[in-house]
Amino acid sequence: MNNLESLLGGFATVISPENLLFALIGVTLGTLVGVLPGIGPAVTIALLLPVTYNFSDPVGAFIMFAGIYYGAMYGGSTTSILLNTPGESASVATALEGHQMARRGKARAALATAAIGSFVAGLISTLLLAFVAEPLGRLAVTFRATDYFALMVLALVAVTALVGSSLVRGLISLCFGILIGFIGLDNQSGQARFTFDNPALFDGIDVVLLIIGLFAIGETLYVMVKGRTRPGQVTPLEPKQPGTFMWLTRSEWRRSIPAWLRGSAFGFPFGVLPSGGAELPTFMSYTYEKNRSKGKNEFGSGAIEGVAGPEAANNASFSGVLVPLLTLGLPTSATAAVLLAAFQIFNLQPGPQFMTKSPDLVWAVIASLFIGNVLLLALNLPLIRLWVKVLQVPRPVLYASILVFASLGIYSVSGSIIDVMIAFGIGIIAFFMRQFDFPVAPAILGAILGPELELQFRRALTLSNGNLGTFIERPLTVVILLLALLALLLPYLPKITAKLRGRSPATAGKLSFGDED
Amino acid sequence: MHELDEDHASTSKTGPFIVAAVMLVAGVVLLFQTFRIPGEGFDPQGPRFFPLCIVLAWLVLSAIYLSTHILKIIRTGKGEAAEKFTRMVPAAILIVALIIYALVLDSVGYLIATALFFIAAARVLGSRNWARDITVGVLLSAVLYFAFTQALGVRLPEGILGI
Repeated sequence: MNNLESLLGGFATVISPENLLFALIGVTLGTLVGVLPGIGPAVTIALLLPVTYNFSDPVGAFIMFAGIYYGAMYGGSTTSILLNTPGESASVATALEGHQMARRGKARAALATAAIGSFVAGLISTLLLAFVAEPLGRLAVTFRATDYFALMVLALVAVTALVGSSLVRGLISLCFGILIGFIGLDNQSGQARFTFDNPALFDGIDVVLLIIGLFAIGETLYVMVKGRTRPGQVTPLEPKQPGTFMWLTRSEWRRSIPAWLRGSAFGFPFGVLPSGGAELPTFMSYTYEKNRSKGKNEFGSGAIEGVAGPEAANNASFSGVLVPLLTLGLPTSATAAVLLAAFQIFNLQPGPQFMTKSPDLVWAVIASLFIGNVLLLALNLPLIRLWVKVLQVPRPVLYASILVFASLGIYSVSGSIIDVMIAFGIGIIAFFMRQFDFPVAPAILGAILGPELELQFRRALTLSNGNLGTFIERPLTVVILLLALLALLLPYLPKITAKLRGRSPATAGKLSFGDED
Repeated sequence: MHELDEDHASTSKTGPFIVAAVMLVAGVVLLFQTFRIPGEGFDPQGPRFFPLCIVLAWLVLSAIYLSTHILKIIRTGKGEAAEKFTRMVPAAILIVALIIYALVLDSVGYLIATALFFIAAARVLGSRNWARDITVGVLLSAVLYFAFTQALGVRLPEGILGI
């Protein structure tokens, strides 16, 4: 029961009027930015990072981030349901059924099952996180440099293989990120690398700058070129129905609850595994719910399970993603990468030592996830009319504000005009990446994990006196590296199995999922 | 990224050629830069080994991208994925506006530069309501400036206003 005590300790740290205010601000800002089509939780946190730069206490900042995350995620579902324009690929499944529900006059039920489902999944998965994190952290202490190297290779390769529609384009994006990560002075030898003799580049390119450039600026340019700055058609909310509890009828509750639980069961484990965040579990949950309901024929015209399951999976996967992030320092989704950057701003390095060195903060972070969840439920359903209003705000105004926030974020991170220019340049590259269907998430992970990967690689070699064989001496390392190889082949498995069975491979598609969170 | 509207299926065959060419040129430049990193040889523990590996991987992947594109054109008449470039003029104007904004930020000051940039960006993005854009632009920059400098303690350029 030690974990429960620690968790209660976390709550004691978190629950103060000041921190609750931070959570409130976080949820509100997160929802505000998150309802923008194309702007998901990762970008929202990146854009709002500067707000917390001068926080003396990281606890307050992380409570705010938890609020921002949940707010942004729920804002995304609101947009998907009422506008049918999912903000990120994890909301695509929600849009499929949710928008149909809204069109049939069941918008409130769809929004409620999304919000309550997120809440339930958040509670379950955060509890799981609380119980899984510590034993895994203890295990992680025994890991050696070679194991870390292998784990990072696995995380990078698996995410790249699962995200986007082409492995080659994904790997190119990954290499782009790693190359960006090289820029600056080498940590160990102090030599300048890829700086083109420009002292402004000696410190390297800040990850926040990269994230804002890749996501916020790139996305705004893309949205503009695609002509999506015209307002969409907001499906009107129907009047409240009598005989409902929290906007759901008795039968809707009965249908939603099992779907929430199943969604959480998909979300958490796939969040823990390096599968690139939420899109895989949300689609799996959607497909599962669809197959289960065969015969009812409601799927495609607004089945409540099709909203309840994926939304729960989406939220549960976030707590799952936090497991490798907190215990190993390993981000496996764009959102986790942004959170890692946020930790680093406060000079905190998540990883095995993190759990033992600053347990108070870890438990406070976990407790703040609960708070964020509760506030989300308390704010979003009653305030839904406000969010509908936000959806009706003209898009040019919203996207112009995003650019203002983006520039402010970059400027306050560095105070240098050159950095702002670099971020704009990265934004232009990101725009072209979107035009030619290169996934963006691998670039972020590459830039964050690339330097770590090299560090562990060289550390392992130093320990073994330069013997490259050290990577195949430990069975654990070899197993993880083999898994990475398998992950590379995974997208082609349908083709390979088709070939093995002697059929034409042309009919079997490549297994793939969307980009970004 | 999955909005189900216009322009989605359209492809351009020349685009990926240019992308591949740019990537190959960048790869070669970086290869030279790798050799310029001080140090001798490519000792796996040294600062040159890892960049060399990634640059070589980059070059190989770029070549694969190029050849897949050519092969796809030969086989199906369609190359690698590429979306149509539309509304490039406003996009270019927006980028220029961003650059000017960054350049004048220090001298003009955050308040004025941001308000002007907001109005310009909103217009380029398709807004047609001067009164609204000006009101929102001035209010947004004022709120951000005072919130960040007064409440959050982040320094922003004062510029010509001197407040």
